[in-house]
Amino acid sequence: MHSRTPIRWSLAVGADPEWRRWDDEFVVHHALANDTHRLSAPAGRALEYLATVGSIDSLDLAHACAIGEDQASETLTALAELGFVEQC
Amino acid sequence: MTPNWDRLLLALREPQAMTGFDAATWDLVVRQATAAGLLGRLGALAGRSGVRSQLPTAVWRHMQAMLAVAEQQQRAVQWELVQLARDLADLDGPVVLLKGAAYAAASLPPAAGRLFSDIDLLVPRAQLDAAEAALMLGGWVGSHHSAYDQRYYRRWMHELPPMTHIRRRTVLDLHHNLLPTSARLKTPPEPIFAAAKPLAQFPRFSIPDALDQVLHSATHLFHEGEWEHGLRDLVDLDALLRAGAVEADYWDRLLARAEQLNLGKPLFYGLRYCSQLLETPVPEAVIVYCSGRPSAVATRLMDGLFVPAFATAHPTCRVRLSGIAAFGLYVRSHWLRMPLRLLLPHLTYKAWAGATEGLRESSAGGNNRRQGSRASIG
Amino acid sequence: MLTLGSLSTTDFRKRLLAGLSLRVGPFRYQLRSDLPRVADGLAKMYADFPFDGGGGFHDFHARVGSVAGFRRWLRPQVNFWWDAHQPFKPLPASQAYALLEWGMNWCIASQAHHYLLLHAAVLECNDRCVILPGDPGAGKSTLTAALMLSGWRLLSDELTVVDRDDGSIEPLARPVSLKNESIDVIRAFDSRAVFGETARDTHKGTVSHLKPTQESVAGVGKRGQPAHIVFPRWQRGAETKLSARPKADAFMHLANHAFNYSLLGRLGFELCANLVDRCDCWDFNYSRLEEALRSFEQLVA
Repeated sequence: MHSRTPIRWSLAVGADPEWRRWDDEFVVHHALANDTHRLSAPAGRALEYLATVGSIDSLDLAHACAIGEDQASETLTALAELGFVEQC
Repeated sequence: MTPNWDRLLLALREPQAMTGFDAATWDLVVRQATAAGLLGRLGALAGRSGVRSQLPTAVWRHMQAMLAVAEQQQRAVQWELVQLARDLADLDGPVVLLKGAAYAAASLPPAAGRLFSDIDLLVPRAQLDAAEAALMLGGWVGSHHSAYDQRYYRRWMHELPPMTHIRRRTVLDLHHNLLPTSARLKTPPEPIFAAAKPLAQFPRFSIPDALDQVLHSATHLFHEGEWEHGLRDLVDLDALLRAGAVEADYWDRLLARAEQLNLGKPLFYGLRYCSQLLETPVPEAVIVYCSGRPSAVATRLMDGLFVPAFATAHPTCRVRLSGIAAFGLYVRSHWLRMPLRLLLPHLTYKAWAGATEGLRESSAGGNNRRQGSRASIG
Repeated sequence: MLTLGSLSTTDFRKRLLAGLSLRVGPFRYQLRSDLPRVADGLAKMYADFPFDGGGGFHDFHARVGSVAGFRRWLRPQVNFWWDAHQPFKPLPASQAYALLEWGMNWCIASQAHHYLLLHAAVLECNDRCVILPGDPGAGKSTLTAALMLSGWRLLSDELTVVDRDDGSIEPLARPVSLKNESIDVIRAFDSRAVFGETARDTHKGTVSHLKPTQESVAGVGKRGQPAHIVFPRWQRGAETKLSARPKADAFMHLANHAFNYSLLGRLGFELCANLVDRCDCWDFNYSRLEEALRSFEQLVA
C-alpha cells in the first residue's frame, strides 16, 4: 500500500518574514520582495510554526489549527506562491 | 573648472573635508549632489570616513533619506534578479550583468549610496531572440512598437528597445554589445563573455571582469549622452579605478585590455576626467599611452565640451554651455512611489516626472502596493 | 518674539522676492515668489510663525512664479519650482497660493524619508493625538478644521510626520486646505475663522486655506503621542457612529496611505505596525458636525 507523503515546507531563502498578529489576523512582510500581505489565521500560524520548527507539512498545520488537511495543503501552496515557503 | 561645484567635488574626493563646510555651503552642495544623483554617495562616504556625527543634523537627514532610497532600490534589483534567473533558467549561454545591476548584485565599489533604475543584461547576439522570448514569457513587454523603431533598434543598436515588466514595472535593457553597430568605434563582445565571472549569489548571471567593468563604464559615459548622469558615472568609474589600482600590474593590464577591445579612446577620456575632477590616482604615463588616444587639438575641444557637461546637473554649477544646454536638468527622481494623487488631486504631473519615472524606479515584486489583502489564504 | 505678521507688506514682499526663510516644524524652506497674491497669502496664513532671518541651510528651495510665453497675458499661468525643477504642469494664476501649499507638501512627501510620512490629518487634545487617514471625499478636512477651531491642537492637515525612533508625531501646523462646501460649512461653524484667497475653477472645484490657530502654531516643536487612528466617512444623513476597526485591516489601510511605506522597506512595515499597535483603531461615520465633535471629545476624555 502506498501512502501519500505530504510535502514538507520550510521558510524560503530571502523571505525573512516579519509579522504582527492582531486577534486572528496576521500582516506579514517579505524582506526581499518587499511585499506586505494580510493573512488569515492558518497562514499566519504556519509561519509562526516555522519560526520555531524547521519544516512543516499539511498534517502538522491541520493539527495545529484544527482545520482540514485539504485546507492546510492549499494554505501552504498559497504561501509558496507568495514566496514565503519553499519545498524542503 | 568653475568654482561653483568645487565643494561638491572636494566632498567626493576627500569626505573628511565635509566637516569644514558651513551651512551656506551645505545649502548649495546638497542641492548640487541631489541633482547629480550623488547625495546618497556623500552619505555613504560620510559614514565610511567616520564624519557622520560631525555633519549638521539637517544635512545628515537628507543623506539618510537618500541612503534609504538607495538601499531599497538595491534590494529591488536583487529581487528582480531572483525573478529573472527563473525567467532565463533555460536559456543557453551566459547572461552578463552590466553597470548598476552588476554593482548592486556583487556589491561592487560604486554601489554604496547609489540609485539604480534599469537592469542591463548582455547576451551573445545569437541568443538575443531566445532571450527576448524567454523574457516575454516571464511578463516582460517590449516598447517602441512601431515597425520603424523595431527595425532601427535591431539593425543599428547594441540593445533591444527597453522592456518593462507588466506587473513589477521594472525596466530592462537587453544588450548584445557595448556599442551600437552604427558607432564608428567597433568593439568585439566575445572577449567580454570569455572573461566574465559567474556570481555565487546568482549563478545564472555573470559580471564582467574588473578591467572590462572599467572599460564599459568609460565607454558608456562617453557614448551614451546621458549627461545628467555624467558626474555620477564618472564617480562610478573613479570607484572602480581606485579599487583596481591596488592590484599588481593593474595599469598595464588595463591598457592592454583597452587595446584588445579597441576602447582606448573612451578609456583615455575616462582616465583624464577622473584624474582632473576627482583626483583619481592615475599615473600620468598611463593616460599618455592609451591606445587610440585623440590628438591634442581634439582633446582640448573635448575638454571644452565635457567638463561643462559634467556640471549640467545643477544651475549653480553651470557655466555658459552653448549647445550643451539642451541636455536635461534633472536626474530622474527615484523616490516618487506614493499616492500623490491623493495629496494633490488638482495637479497633473508632467509625463517624465510622474508616469514614466514611477515606472522606472518601482521596486521589485510589484506587490509593493501592499494591497495584498490575501485574507482568503487558508 | 518677532513673527512674520509683524513685517510690513512691502518688507514681506521684498523678502519673498529675494528668498524668504520659513521654518515649518523640523523643516526649513526657502520660499521665493514675485507674485503679490502669493506674498499676501503667505503673510496672512503664516502671520503667527516666527520670523526667520534667513541664511544658512534650507531643506527645500521652492518658488512659485509666472510661466513665460504668450499665455502670459491671455490666460496667465503659474508653476511651482523645487530647486531648478518643475514637477508639475502649470496652473491658472488664480491658483498660485494653493499651488505653493501643494508644492510645499510635495517637498516633504517626496523627500523627508527620515520620517514615516502618512497622508493623514493629525490633531491633539488632552495630550492624545488622533490620526485621520485621508480617503478622498471622506470629510477629513472639514472635521480637521472644525476640531482645530474647537480648541484641538492641529499638528497637520495633510501630512502626518512620524518619528522613526519613538513613533511620536512632529507638528507642522500649516494652513488647512478646504474645498467646495467645506469652506462654507467652516465659515458658518466659526465666524472667527481666517481664510486665505479662494481659488475658483480648479478642476476639482473651489479651494481655500484656513489659517492655523495661534495655539497650534505655538505648539510646533512639541511632539505629539498617537493614541487613536480614526477612518472618517461623511455620508449624508448618516448616524454618528464610532466602531472599532480590526487592526490587521487598519494596518493595510494605513500602509496604503503612507507615502514612503515601500521605500522604507522593513522599517516601513515596523513603523506602521508599531503605530497600529499603540493606537485604538476606529471607523467613524457621520453627517452632523456638532455630533462628530462630541464623539471625538469623548474619545480623548
